[in-house]
Amino acid sequence: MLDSSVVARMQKKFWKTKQVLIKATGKKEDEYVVASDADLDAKLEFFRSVQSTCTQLLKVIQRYQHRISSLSQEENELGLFLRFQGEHDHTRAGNMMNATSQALCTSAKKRLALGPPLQRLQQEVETFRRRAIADTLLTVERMERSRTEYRGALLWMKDASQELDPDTYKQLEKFRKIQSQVRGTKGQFDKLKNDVCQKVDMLGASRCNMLSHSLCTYQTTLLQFWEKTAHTMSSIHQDFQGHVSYQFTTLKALRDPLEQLTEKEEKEERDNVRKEKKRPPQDLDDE
Amino acid sequence: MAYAYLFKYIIIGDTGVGKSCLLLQFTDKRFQPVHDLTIGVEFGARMITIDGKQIKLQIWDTAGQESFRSITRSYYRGAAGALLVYDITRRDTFNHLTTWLEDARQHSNSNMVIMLIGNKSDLESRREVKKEEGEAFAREHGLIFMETSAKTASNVEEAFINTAKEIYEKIQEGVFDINNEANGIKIGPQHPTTSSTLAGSQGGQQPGGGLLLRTLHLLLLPPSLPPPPPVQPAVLIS
Repeated sequence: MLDSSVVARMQKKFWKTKQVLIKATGKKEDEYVVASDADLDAKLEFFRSVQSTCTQLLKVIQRYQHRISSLSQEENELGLFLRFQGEHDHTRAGNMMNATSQALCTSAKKRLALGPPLQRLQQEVETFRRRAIADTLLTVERMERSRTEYRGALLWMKDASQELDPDTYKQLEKFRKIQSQVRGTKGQFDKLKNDVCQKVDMLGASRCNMLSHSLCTYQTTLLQFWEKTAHTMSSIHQDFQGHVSYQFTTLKALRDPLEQLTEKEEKEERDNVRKEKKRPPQDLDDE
Repeated sequence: MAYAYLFKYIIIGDTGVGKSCLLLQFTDKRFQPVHDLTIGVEFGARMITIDGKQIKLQIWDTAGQESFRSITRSYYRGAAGALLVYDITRRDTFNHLTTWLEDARQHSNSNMVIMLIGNKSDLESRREVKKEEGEAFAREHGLIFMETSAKTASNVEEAFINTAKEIYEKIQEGVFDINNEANGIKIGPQHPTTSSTLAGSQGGQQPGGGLLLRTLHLLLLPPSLPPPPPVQPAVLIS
């Protein structure tokens, strides 16, 4: 009695290990068994995408926050610089610099208001990752373990089915044992499979919910910031009206002399071609 | 119990079409509305009488679920008859018949008798597959066809027994080589009264069957004797 149970345990282990090996070595698995798990595998793929995109999103939020604070800093520094210059310049240009410096400093300060909603978003994504995803991952792992057991039992059954004769008592008895093993592991696997599918669906829905909620606060803050800065900028724009407008003739000098040279050559060349072929003049319109 | 022949049957078809219920109705004359999922295969057996001979049907009721498909393939081997079942209230089970038939033809011997069964004929109000469609499919693929109801037992006996008759006729015609167990036919243990009447009464009437039955008679001699050389009845007749 003891011997037979030991043998049965050994056999169970053997087929399970065989399944583990098949999976680990990437050998082709039974196509029908794989196909029957298609819905589950689709859910798992979605789960992995939720997992990886959440991690990516966290990284992006962090970088974005960092950039926002650097941008604010730079903006503020430009404002301070202009104020300093404006104080020393008693012409109208000094006034303009002063006004611009104020606008820039305000914008820099207001931009920092984006921080809290982003931080909130980061916290929520982090919690989501640590709690919801980690919990689902546990279920997925449990399911994968039971899937291995189930597929191992199927391998065993397939092996025993090769030479099955229901009129031979011993064979039938052995088959019944395997059958109960398959039934047991299948029941467990089906239950966990269902759990995983449901959990992944919930995970997707709750992520949508979380994102739409926190992104909404962020969006409102961003709009407020834009509105306020746009307002400040347009008000100083009004202050500028009536001031001397400068003729920026210096721009041309900034062009790369080499580029100018090549362009000139090209133009000459094209002129020559036109003379030879008598092509219509619109070819040169783009100059 | 002694039998003249043993036929191996296999029941195939999509999950939930009523394969296990058909078997239960045939062997136990019962109907169970809720049936556990078949794991791999279940077995059933019943004696029937054809042409005065006891024939044991050994029925392999296979699992219809997709994950068992590779396993059930190994059960086709050595089956003399197959019941290919679909559910008349589910069109998809009818649409899958081609795949099942391909599977069956590929993994069994070519002489296997296939009976197409449209089950659940009691659910006329929910019918999705017309009887004519089943008949047309059977005609096209050379199958026997019947609509059954495992619930009301309508045509269940007939389905199993007609298949057996078809196999029996094929044996008489010499299509099956009964010496080869891979054909799903076994000759029963020695049973002097049956065997002598078999050989005596039918030997003269049917020359083809007579030859066959004489071989059968030889086989039914005490097991201590060396088995006779294999005879190819098909060749002898033609």
